[in-house]
Amino acid sequence: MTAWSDRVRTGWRGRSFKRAPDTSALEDLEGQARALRAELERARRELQTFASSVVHELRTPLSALSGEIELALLRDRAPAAYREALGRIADRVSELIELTTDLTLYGMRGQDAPGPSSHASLAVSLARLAERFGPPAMTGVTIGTDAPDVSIPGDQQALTRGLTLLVEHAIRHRQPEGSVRLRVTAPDGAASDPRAVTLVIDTSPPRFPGRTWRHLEASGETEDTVNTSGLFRLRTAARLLQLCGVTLRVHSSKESDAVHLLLHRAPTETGGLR
Amino acid sequence: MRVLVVEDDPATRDLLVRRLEEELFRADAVADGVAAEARVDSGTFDVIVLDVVLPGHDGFSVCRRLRTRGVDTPILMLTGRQALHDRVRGLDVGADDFLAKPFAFEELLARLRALTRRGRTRTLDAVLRLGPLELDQHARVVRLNDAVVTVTATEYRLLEFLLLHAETPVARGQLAGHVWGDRADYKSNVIDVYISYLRKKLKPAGSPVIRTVRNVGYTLTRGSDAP
Repeated sequence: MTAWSDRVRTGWRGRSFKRAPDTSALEDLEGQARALRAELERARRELQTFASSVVHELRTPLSALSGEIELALLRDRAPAAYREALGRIADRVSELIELTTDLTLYGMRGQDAPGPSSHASLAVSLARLAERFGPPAMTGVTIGTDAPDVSIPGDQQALTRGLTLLVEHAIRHRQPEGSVRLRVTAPDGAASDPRAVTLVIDTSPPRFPGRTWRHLEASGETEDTVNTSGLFRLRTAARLLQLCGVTLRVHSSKESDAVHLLLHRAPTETGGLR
Repeated sequence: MRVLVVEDDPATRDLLVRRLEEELFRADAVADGVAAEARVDSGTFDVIVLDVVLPGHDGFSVCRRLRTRGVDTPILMLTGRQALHDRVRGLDVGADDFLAKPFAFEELLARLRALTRRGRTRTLDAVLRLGPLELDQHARVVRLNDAVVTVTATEYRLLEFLLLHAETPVARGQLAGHVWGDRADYKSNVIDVYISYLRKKLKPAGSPVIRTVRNVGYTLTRGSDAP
Protein backbone atom coordinates (compact mmCIF):
# COMPACT_ATOMS: atom_id res chain seq x y z
CA MET A 1 0.00 0.00 0.00
CA THR A 2 1.40 3.35 -0.98
CA ALA A 3 1.84 5.77 1.91
CA TRP A 4 -0.32 8.81 2.02
CA SER A 5 2.64 11.11 1.50
CA ASP A 6 3.61 9.16 -1.60
CA ARG A 7 0.08 9.59 -3.01
CA VAL A 8 0.19 13.31 -2.58
CA ARG A 9 3.66 13.52 -4.11
CA THR A 10 2.66 11.52 -7.15
CA GLY A 11 -0.63 13.44 -7.61
CA TRP A 12 -2.78 10.37 -7.01
CA ARG A 13 -6.43 11.33 -7.29
CA GLY A 14 -8.30 8.25 -6.27
CA ARG A 15 -11.97 7.99 -5.75
CA SER A 16 -12.16 10.57 -2.97
CA PHE A 17 -11.71 13.38 -5.47
CA LYS A 18 -14.82 14.17 -7.60
CA ARG A 19 -15.79 16.82 -10.05
CA ALA A 20 -18.25 19.52 -8.89
CA PRO A 21 -21.89 18.66 -10.02
CA ASP A 22 -23.47 20.45 -12.97
CA THR A 23 -26.16 22.64 -11.21
CA SER A 24 -27.86 23.68 -14.45
CA ALA A 25 -28.95 20.11 -15.07
CA LEU A 26 -30.37 19.92 -11.56
CA GLU A 27 -32.27 23.13 -12.10
CA ASP A 28 -33.71 21.75 -15.32
CA LEU A 29 -34.82 18.63 -13.53
CA GLU A 30 -36.37 20.69 -10.77
CA GLY A 31 -38.29 22.77 -13.31
CA GLN A 32 -39.55 19.64 -15.04
CA ALA A 33 -40.63 18.15 -11.74
CA ARG A 34 -42.53 21.33 -10.85
CA ALA A 35 -44.24 21.36 -14.24
CA LEU A 36 -45.18 17.70 -13.87
CA ARG A 37 -46.57 18.32 -10.41
CA ALA A 38 -48.66 21.23 -11.71
CA GLU A 39 -49.95 19.07 -14.54
CA LEU A 40 -50.76 16.29 -12.11
CA GLU A 41 -52.62 18.71 -9.87
CA ARG A 42 -54.57 20.06 -12.85
CA ALA A 43 -55.48 16.53 -13.91
CA ARG A 44 -56.54 15.68 -10.36
CA ARG A 45 -58.80 18.76 -10.19
CA GLU A 46 -60.29 17.95 -13.59
CA LEU A 47 -60.99 14.40 -12.49
CA GLN A 48 -62.57 15.63 -9.27
CA THR A 49 -64.76 18.05 -11.20
CA PHE A 50 -65.74 15.38 -13.68
CA ALA A 51 -66.63 13.00 -10.84
CA SER A 52 -68.67 15.71 -9.10
CA SER A 53 -70.52 16.52 -12.29
CA VAL A 54 -71.24 12.88 -13.05
CA VAL A 55 -72.46 12.30 -9.51
CA HIS A 56 -74.85 15.23 -9.85
CA GLU A 57 -76.06 14.01 -13.25
CA LEU A 58 -76.69 10.55 -11.81
CA ARG A 59 -78.31 11.65 -8.58
CA THR A 60 -80.78 14.00 -10.24
CA PRO A 61 -82.73 11.41 -12.27
CA LEU A 62 -82.22 8.80 -9.53
CA SER A 63 -83.75 11.17 -7.03
CA ALA A 64 -86.67 11.87 -9.36
CA LEU A 65 -87.08 8.14 -9.98
CA SER A 66 -87.13 7.38 -6.28
CA GLY A 67 -89.59 10.21 -5.66
CA GLU A 68 -91.99 9.06 -8.37
CA ILE A 69 -92.06 5.53 -6.99
CA GLU A 70 -92.52 6.83 -3.45
CA LEU A 71 -95.36 9.08 -4.58
CA ALA A 72 -97.07 6.29 -6.52
CA LEU A 73 -96.97 4.00 -3.48
CA LEU A 74 -98.02 6.67 -1.01
CA ARG A 75 -101.72 5.90 -1.22
CA ASP A 76 -104.20 4.00 -3.37
CA ARG A 77 -104.71 5.63 -6.74
CA ALA A 78 -106.75 5.15 -9.87
CA PRO A 79 -105.23 2.93 -12.59
CA ALA A 80 -104.78 5.93 -14.88
CA ALA A 81 -102.68 7.65 -12.20
CA TYR A 82 -100.48 4.56 -11.89
CA ARG A 83 -100.03 4.46 -15.66
CA GLU A 84 -98.98 8.11 -15.69
CA ALA A 85 -96.54 7.45 -12.88
CA LEU A 86 -95.07 4.47 -14.74
CA GLY A 87 -94.68 6.67 -17.81
CA ARG A 88 -92.71 9.23 -15.83
CA ILE A 89 -90.62 6.47 -14.24
CA ALA A 90 -89.85 5.10 -17.71
CA ASP A 91 -88.70 8.57 -18.80
CA ARG A 92 -86.31 8.81 -15.85
CA VAL A 93 -84.91 5.36 -16.63
CA SER A 94 -84.34 6.45 -20.25
CA GLU A 95 -82.41 9.46 -18.98
CA LEU A 96 -80.19 7.20 -16.91
CA ILE A 97 -79.57 4.92 -19.87
CA GLU A 98 -78.62 7.92 -22.01
CA LEU A 99 -76.25 9.04 -19.29
CA THR A 100 -74.49 5.67 -19.25
CA THR A 101 -74.17 5.87 -23.05
CA ASP A 102 -72.63 9.33 -22.70
CA LEU A 103 -70.17 8.00 -20.16
CA THR A 104 -69.21 5.21 -22.54
CA LEU A 105 -68.71 7.63 -25.43
CA TYR A 106 -66.84 9.96 -23.09
CA GLY A 107 -64.45 7.13 -22.38
CA MET A 108 -63.55 7.00 -26.06
CA ARG A 109 -61.39 10.06 -25.50
CA GLY A 110 -57.76 9.12 -25.39
CA GLN A 111 -58.30 5.95 -27.33
CA ASP A 112 -56.92 5.54 -30.82
CA ALA A 113 -58.50 7.92 -33.33
CA PRO A 114 -61.09 6.34 -35.62
CA GLY A 115 -59.50 4.56 -38.56
CA PRO A 116 -59.74 5.76 -42.13
CA SER A 117 -62.83 3.63 -42.68
CA SER A 118 -64.75 5.31 -39.85
CA HIS A 119 -66.91 8.11 -41.20
CA ALA A 120 -69.96 9.91 -39.95
CA SER A 121 -72.63 11.30 -42.25
CA LEU A 122 -73.72 14.81 -41.34
CA ALA A 123 -77.07 14.31 -43.09
CA VAL A 124 -77.82 11.20 -41.04
CA SER A 125 -77.06 13.01 -37.78
CA LEU A 126 -79.19 16.01 -38.71
CA ALA A 127 -82.09 13.79 -39.73
CA ARG A 128 -81.96 12.07 -36.34
CA LEU A 129 -81.92 15.42 -34.57
CA ALA A 130 -84.91 16.65 -36.57
CA GLU A 131 -86.83 13.53 -35.60
CA ARG A 132 -85.88 13.85 -31.95
CA PHE A 133 -86.77 17.52 -31.54
CA GLY A 134 -89.96 17.51 -33.57
CA PRO A 135 -91.55 20.22 -35.73
CA PRO A 136 -90.30 23.79 -35.15
CA ALA A 137 -93.85 25.15 -34.87
CA MET A 138 -94.37 23.06 -31.74
CA THR A 139 -90.95 23.14 -30.12
CA GLY A 140 -89.31 26.33 -31.35
CA VAL A 141 -86.32 24.21 -32.42
CA THR A 142 -85.28 24.29 -36.08
CA ILE A 143 -82.83 21.70 -37.37
CA GLY A 144 -81.53 22.57 -40.82
CA THR A 145 -81.67 19.31 -42.69
CA ASP A 146 -80.76 20.94 -45.98
CA ALA A 147 -77.05 20.75 -45.16
CA PRO A 148 -74.82 19.17 -47.82
CA ASP A 149 -74.45 15.45 -47.32
CA VAL A 150 -70.84 15.31 -46.28
CA SER A 151 -68.84 12.71 -44.46
CA ILE A 152 -66.51 13.60 -41.68
CA PRO A 153 -64.02 11.33 -39.97
CA GLY A 154 -65.48 9.95 -36.79
CA ASP A 155 -68.09 7.84 -35.11
CA GLN A 156 -71.70 8.40 -36.21
CA GLN A 157 -73.05 7.95 -32.69
CA ALA A 158 -70.51 10.41 -31.28
CA LEU A 159 -71.38 13.06 -33.89
CA THR A 160 -75.14 12.67 -33.41
CA ARG A 161 -74.93 12.62 -29.63
CA GLY A 162 -72.56 15.59 -29.52
CA LEU A 163 -74.89 17.71 -31.66
CA THR A 164 -77.92 16.54 -29.66
CA LEU A 165 -76.32 17.57 -26.37
CA LEU A 166 -75.51 21.02 -27.74
CA VAL A 167 -79.06 21.57 -28.98
CA GLU A 168 -80.49 20.36 -25.66
CA HIS A 169 -78.21 22.75 -23.84
CA ALA A 170 -79.39 25.58 -26.08
CA ILE A 171 -83.02 24.71 -25.34
CA ARG A 172 -82.42 24.82 -21.60
CA HIS A 173 -80.78 28.21 -21.90
CA ARG A 174 -83.27 30.04 -24.08
CA GLN A 175 -86.03 32.34 -22.87
CA PRO A 176 -89.36 30.53 -22.51
CA GLU A 177 -90.66 31.77 -25.87
CA GLY A 178 -87.26 31.80 -27.53
CA SER A 179 -85.99 29.69 -30.40
CA VAL A 180 -83.07 27.41 -31.11
CA ARG A 181 -81.72 26.98 -34.62
CA LEU A 182 -79.13 24.63 -36.03
CA ARG A 183 -78.19 25.59 -39.57
CA VAL A 184 -75.40 25.51 -42.10
CA THR A 185 -73.84 28.88 -42.58
CA ALA A 186 -71.35 30.42 -44.94
CA PRO A 187 -67.82 30.04 -43.59
CA ASP A 188 -65.95 33.09 -42.24
CA GLY A 189 -64.21 34.89 -45.05
CA ALA A 190 -60.62 34.84 -43.87
CA ALA A 191 -60.87 31.51 -42.13
CA SER A 192 -62.78 29.74 -44.87
CA ASP A 193 -61.63 26.27 -45.61
CA PRO A 194 -63.01 24.60 -48.71
CA ARG A 195 -62.75 21.28 -46.91
CA ALA A 196 -64.93 22.46 -44.02
CA VAL A 197 -68.63 22.85 -43.38
CA THR A 198 -69.81 25.29 -40.70
CA LEU A 199 -72.84 24.63 -38.54
CA VAL A 200 -74.26 27.21 -36.17
CA ILE A 201 -76.44 26.55 -33.14
CA ASP A 202 -77.93 29.74 -31.80
CA THR A 203 -80.25 30.54 -28.90
CA SER A 204 -82.45 33.58 -29.27
CA PRO A 205 -83.06 35.30 -26.99
CA PRO A 206 -80.79 33.64 -24.45
CA ARG A 207 -81.84 33.33 -20.82
CA PHE A 208 -78.39 34.43 -19.63
CA PRO A 209 -76.88 36.55 -22.43
CA GLY A 210 -73.21 35.85 -22.95
CA ARG A 211 -73.25 32.87 -20.58
CA THR A 212 -74.96 30.16 -22.59
CA TRP A 213 -71.80 28.56 -23.94
CA ARG A 214 -69.25 29.96 -21.52
CA HIS A 215 -68.09 26.57 -20.27
CA LEU A 216 -67.63 25.14 -23.73
CA GLU A 217 -64.26 26.72 -24.28
CA ALA A 218 -63.18 27.44 -20.69
CA SER A 219 -60.67 25.32 -18.92
CA GLY A 220 -59.63 25.29 -15.30
CA GLU A 221 -62.55 24.51 -13.06
CA THR A 222 -63.62 26.56 -10.10
CA GLU A 223 -66.31 25.92 -7.53
CA ASP A 224 -68.68 28.09 -9.54
CA THR A 225 -68.27 26.07 -12.74
CA VAL A 226 -68.85 22.79 -10.94
CA ASN A 227 -72.22 24.06 -9.76
CA THR A 228 -73.36 25.14 -13.21
CA SER A 229 -76.24 23.15 -14.56
CA GLY A 230 -75.44 21.17 -17.70
CA LEU A 231 -71.67 21.38 -17.33
CA PHE A 232 -71.15 17.65 -17.72
CA ARG A 233 -73.35 17.45 -20.80
CA LEU A 234 -71.62 20.43 -22.38
CA ARG A 235 -68.16 19.02 -21.79
CA THR A 236 -69.31 15.62 -23.04
CA ALA A 237 -70.60 17.25 -26.24
CA ALA A 238 -67.27 19.01 -26.73
CA ARG A 239 -65.31 15.77 -26.24
CA LEU A 240 -67.53 13.78 -28.57
CA LEU A 241 -67.25 16.37 -31.31
CA GLN A 242 -63.50 16.59 -30.81
CA LEU A 243 -63.37 12.87 -31.61
CA CYS A 244 -64.85 13.79 -34.97
CA GLY A 245 -62.32 16.53 -35.49
CA VAL A 246 -64.90 19.30 -35.04
CA THR A 247 -63.69 22.72 -33.94
CA LEU A 248 -65.95 24.85 -31.74
CA ARG A 249 -66.10 28.65 -31.43
CA VAL A 250 -68.48 30.72 -29.34
CA HIS A 251 -70.10 33.96 -30.52
CA SER A 252 -72.33 36.12 -28.32
CA SER A 253 -74.43 39.18 -29.01
CA LYS A 254 -77.33 40.88 -27.26
CA GLU A 255 -79.82 39.03 -29.44
CA SER A 256 -78.38 35.56 -29.40
CA ASP A 257 -75.70 33.27 -28.05
CA ALA A 258 -74.27 30.98 -30.70
CA VAL A 259 -71.68 28.27 -31.12
CA HIS A 260 -70.02 27.70 -34.49
CA LEU A 261 -68.92 24.19 -35.39
CA LEU A 262 -66.31 23.66 -38.06
CA LEU A 263 -66.59 20.19 -39.53
CA HIS A 264 -63.77 18.94 -41.73
CA ARG A 265 -64.77 16.75 -44.61
CA ALA A 266 -63.14 13.36 -44.87
CA PRO A 267 -60.84 12.84 -47.84
CA THR A 268 -61.59 10.05 -50.31
CA GLU A 269 -59.11 7.39 -51.31
CA THR A 270 -58.51 9.28 -54.55
CA GLY A 271 -57.75 12.53 -52.71
CA GLY A 272 -61.13 14.23 -53.22
CA LEU A 273 -63.62 15.13 -50.49
CA ARG A 274 -66.60 13.08 -49.27
CA MET B 1 -97.68 26.80 3.93
CA ARG B 2 -96.31 28.42 0.80
CA VAL B 3 -93.12 27.04 -0.70
CA LEU B 4 -90.96 28.32 -3.55
CA VAL B 5 -89.06 25.54 -5.35
CA VAL B 6 -85.99 26.59 -7.34
CA GLU B 7 -84.88 23.60 -9.40
CA ASP B 8 -83.69 23.52 -13.01
CA ASP B 9 -84.36 19.85 -13.75
CA PRO B 10 -87.93 19.79 -15.09
CA ALA B 11 -88.72 16.29 -13.84
CA THR B 12 -87.50 16.98 -10.32
CA ARG B 13 -89.24 20.35 -10.24
CA ASP B 14 -92.54 18.86 -11.35
CA LEU B 15 -92.24 16.00 -8.86
CA LEU B 16 -91.50 18.33 -5.94
CA VAL B 17 -94.49 20.51 -6.75
CA ARG B 18 -96.85 17.56 -7.09
CA ARG B 19 -95.61 15.99 -3.89
CA LEU B 20 -95.81 19.21 -1.90
CA GLU B 21 -99.30 19.97 -3.20
CA GLU B 22 -100.36 16.48 -2.21
CA GLU B 23 -99.15 17.25 1.31
CA LEU B 24 -101.31 20.41 1.24
CA PHE B 25 -98.47 22.84 0.75
CA ARG B 26 -98.96 25.61 -1.82
CA ALA B 27 -95.95 25.29 -4.13
CA ASP B 28 -94.60 27.68 -6.74
CA ALA B 29 -91.67 26.60 -8.91
CA VAL B 30 -89.04 28.33 -11.02
CA ALA B 31 -86.05 27.03 -12.98
CA ASP B 32 -83.26 29.48 -12.22
CA GLY B 33 -82.00 32.09 -9.77
CA VAL B 34 -83.13 35.14 -11.71
CA ALA B 35 -86.71 33.89 -11.82
CA ALA B 36 -86.46 32.99 -8.13
CA GLU B 37 -85.49 36.51 -7.13
CA ALA B 38 -88.32 37.95 -9.22
CA ARG B 39 -90.82 35.56 -7.65
CA VAL B 40 -89.66 36.37 -4.12
CA ASP B 41 -90.12 40.06 -4.96
CA SER B 42 -93.68 39.48 -6.09
CA GLY B 43 -94.86 37.07 -3.40
CA THR B 44 -94.46 35.95 0.20
CA PHE B 45 -93.18 32.49 0.95
CA ASP B 46 -92.85 30.57 4.18
CA VAL B 47 -89.84 28.62 2.95
CA ILE B 48 -87.63 28.31 -0.15
CA VAL B 49 -86.25 25.02 -1.49
CA LEU B 50 -83.17 25.94 -3.51
CA ASP B 51 -81.06 23.58 -5.63
CA VAL B 52 -77.32 24.23 -5.61
CA VAL B 53 -76.76 23.46 -9.28
CA LEU B 54 -78.60 25.97 -11.45
CA PRO B 55 -78.03 27.54 -14.86
CA GLY B 56 -76.54 31.02 -14.93
CA HIS B 57 -75.93 31.61 -11.23
CA ASP B 58 -75.57 28.72 -8.82
CA GLY B 59 -77.69 28.26 -5.72
CA PHE B 60 -75.01 29.67 -3.41
CA SER B 61 -75.03 32.97 -5.34
CA VAL B 62 -78.81 33.11 -5.29
CA CYS B 63 -78.91 32.47 -1.54
CA ARG B 64 -76.30 35.12 -0.85
CA ARG B 65 -78.13 37.68 -2.99
CA LEU B 66 -81.45 37.00 -1.29
CA ARG B 67 -79.88 37.46 2.14
CA THR B 68 -78.08 40.62 1.04
CA ARG B 69 -81.43 42.04 -0.05
CA GLY B 70 -82.91 41.34 3.37
CA VAL B 71 -84.98 38.28 2.49
CA ASP B 72 -85.13 36.28 5.70
CA THR B 73 -87.37 33.46 4.46
CA PRO B 74 -85.94 30.11 5.59
CA ILE B 75 -83.94 28.44 2.81
CA LEU B 76 -83.31 24.72 2.46
CA MET B 77 -80.68 23.87 -0.14
CA LEU B 78 -80.65 20.67 -2.19
CA THR B 79 -77.41 19.23 -3.47
CA GLY B 80 -76.41 16.23 -5.52
CA ARG B 81 -73.04 16.11 -3.79
CA GLN B 82 -72.15 15.00 -0.29
CA ALA B 83 -69.14 17.28 0.04
CA LEU B 84 -68.75 18.83 3.47
CA HIS B 85 -67.48 22.10 2.04
CA ASP B 86 -70.78 22.44 0.11
CA ARG B 87 -72.71 22.32 3.37
CA VAL B 88 -70.34 24.74 5.05
CA ARG B 89 -70.49 27.10 2.10
CA GLY B 90 -74.28 26.91 2.02
CA LEU B 91 -74.58 27.74 5.69
CA ASP B 92 -72.06 30.55 5.29
CA VAL B 93 -74.08 32.21 2.52
CA GLY B 94 -77.22 32.10 4.63
CA ALA B 95 -78.97 28.80 4.01
CA ASP B 96 -80.79 27.36 7.01
CA ASP B 97 -80.58 23.70 6.13
CA PHE B 98 -79.12 21.25 3.62
CA LEU B 99 -80.42 18.04 2.08
CA ALA B 100 -78.52 15.72 -0.25
CA LYS B 101 -80.14 13.98 -3.20
CA PRO B 102 -81.58 11.43 -3.34
CA PHE B 103 -83.63 12.13 -0.26
CA ALA B 104 -86.68 10.62 1.37
CA PHE B 105 -89.53 13.00 0.84
CA GLU B 106 -90.67 12.55 4.42
CA GLU B 107 -87.35 13.99 5.50
CA LEU B 108 -87.82 17.00 3.21
CA LEU B 109 -91.26 17.60 4.70
CA ALA B 110 -89.97 17.29 8.27
CA ARG B 111 -87.16 19.74 7.57
CA LEU B 112 -89.55 22.22 5.94
CA ARG B 113 -91.84 22.05 8.96
CA ALA B 114 -88.89 22.47 11.30
CA LEU B 115 -87.70 25.53 9.38
CA THR B 116 -91.08 27.21 9.55
CA ARG B 117 -91.40 26.43 13.26
CA ARG B 118 -88.19 28.21 14.24
CA GLY B 119 -88.94 31.37 16.17
CA ARG B 120 -92.48 30.27 17.01
CA THR B 121 -92.11 29.20 20.62
CA ARG B 122 -95.63 27.95 21.06
CA THR B 123 -95.00 24.93 18.88
CA LEU B 124 -92.55 22.25 19.88
CA ASP B 125 -93.54 19.57 17.43
CA ALA B 126 -95.56 19.20 14.24
CA VAL B 127 -98.80 20.14 16.03
CA LEU B 128 -100.13 23.70 15.99
CA ARG B 129 -102.32 24.47 18.99
CA LEU B 130 -104.60 27.23 20.14
CA GLY B 131 -106.73 26.36 23.14
CA PRO B 132 -108.64 23.14 22.42
CA LEU B 133 -107.90 23.37 18.70
CA GLU B 134 -105.04 21.26 17.31
CA LEU B 135 -103.73 20.92 13.77
CA ASP B 136 -101.30 18.06 13.24
CA GLN B 137 -99.12 19.01 10.29
CA HIS B 138 -97.62 15.53 10.06
CA ALA B 139 -100.85 13.57 10.07
CA ARG B 140 -102.83 16.41 8.42
CA VAL B 141 -105.54 16.06 11.02
CA VAL B 142 -107.54 18.74 12.82
CA ARG B 143 -108.88 18.09 16.33
CA LEU B 144 -111.16 20.15 18.51
CA ASN B 145 -111.48 19.05 22.14
CA ASP B 146 -109.69 15.82 21.12
CA ALA B 147 -112.35 15.01 18.54
CA VAL B 148 -111.32 14.86 14.89
CA VAL B 149 -112.86 17.60 12.75
CA THR B 150 -113.34 16.79 9.09
CA VAL B 151 -111.98 19.55 6.87
CA THR B 152 -111.37 19.87 3.14
CA ALA B 153 -107.90 20.51 1.74
CA THR B 154 -108.66 24.20 1.28
CA GLU B 155 -110.09 24.54 4.79
CA TYR B 156 -106.98 22.79 6.13
CA ARG B 157 -104.62 25.22 4.37
CA LEU B 158 -106.67 28.18 5.52
CA LEU B 159 -106.79 27.01 9.12
CA GLU B 160 -103.08 26.14 9.12
CA PHE B 161 -102.18 29.64 7.97
CA LEU B 162 -104.45 31.26 10.55
CA LEU B 163 -102.95 29.08 13.29
CA LEU B 164 -99.40 29.92 12.20
CA HIS B 165 -100.34 33.58 12.65
CA ALA B 166 -102.68 33.13 15.58
CA GLU B 167 -103.59 36.25 17.56
CA THR B 168 -102.35 38.52 14.75
CA PRO B 169 -104.42 39.99 11.91
CA VAL B 170 -103.86 38.39 8.53
CA ALA B 171 -104.62 40.37 5.39
CA ARG B 172 -107.02 38.95 2.83
CA GLY B 173 -104.31 39.14 0.19
CA GLN B 174 -101.95 37.06 2.33
CA LEU B 175 -104.62 34.46 2.94
CA ALA B 176 -105.53 34.28 -0.72
CA GLY B 177 -101.92 34.01 -1.84
CA HIS B 178 -101.07 31.26 0.60
CA VAL B 179 -104.15 29.17 0.10
CA TRP B 180 -104.95 29.67 -3.57
CA GLY B 181 -101.64 30.89 -4.97
CA ASP B 182 -100.78 33.79 -7.28
CA ARG B 183 -103.93 33.37 -9.31
CA ALA B 184 -106.15 34.18 -6.31
CA ASP B 185 -108.28 37.29 -6.25
CA TYR B 186 -108.27 38.48 -2.67
CA LYS B 187 -111.35 40.61 -3.31
CA SER B 188 -113.34 37.53 -4.24
CA ASN B 189 -115.86 36.28 -1.70
CA VAL B 190 -114.39 32.77 -1.91
CA ILE B 191 -112.28 33.61 1.13
CA ASP B 192 -115.39 34.66 3.06
CA VAL B 193 -117.18 31.48 2.06
CA TYR B 194 -114.40 29.27 3.40
CA ILE B 195 -114.08 31.37 6.54
CA SER B 196 -117.76 30.77 7.17
CA TYR B 197 -117.26 27.02 6.67
CA LEU B 198 -114.49 27.06 9.27
CA ARG B 199 -116.52 29.15 11.69
CA LYS B 200 -119.30 26.56 11.58
CA LYS B 201 -116.78 23.83 12.40
CA LEU B 202 -115.33 25.83 15.30
CA LYS B 203 -118.72 26.38 16.93
CA PRO B 204 -118.33 24.37 20.19
CA ALA B 205 -117.92 26.51 23.30
CA GLY B 206 -114.39 27.46 24.15
CA SER B 207 -113.20 27.02 20.57
CA PRO B 208 -110.90 29.58 19.00
CA VAL B 209 -112.74 32.22 17.07
CA ILE B 210 -112.05 33.64 13.64
CA ARG B 211 -112.63 37.36 14.01
CA THR B 212 -113.04 39.77 11.13
CA VAL B 213 -110.56 42.64 11.30
CA ARG B 214 -112.16 45.54 9.46
CA ASN B 215 -110.28 46.74 6.38
CA VAL B 216 -107.59 44.11 6.99
CA GLY B 217 -108.75 40.54 7.00
CA TYR B 218 -109.10 37.97 9.73
CA THR B 219 -107.46 36.80 12.91
CA LEU B 220 -107.74 33.56 14.84
CA THR B 221 -107.95 34.15 18.58
CA ARG B 222 -108.78 32.18 21.69
CA GLY B 223 -112.48 31.91 22.43
CA SER B 224 -114.05 34.38 24.93
CA ASP B 225 -114.61 31.65 27.53
CA ALA B 226 -111.32 29.93 26.90
CA PRO B 227 -109.09 29.45 29.99
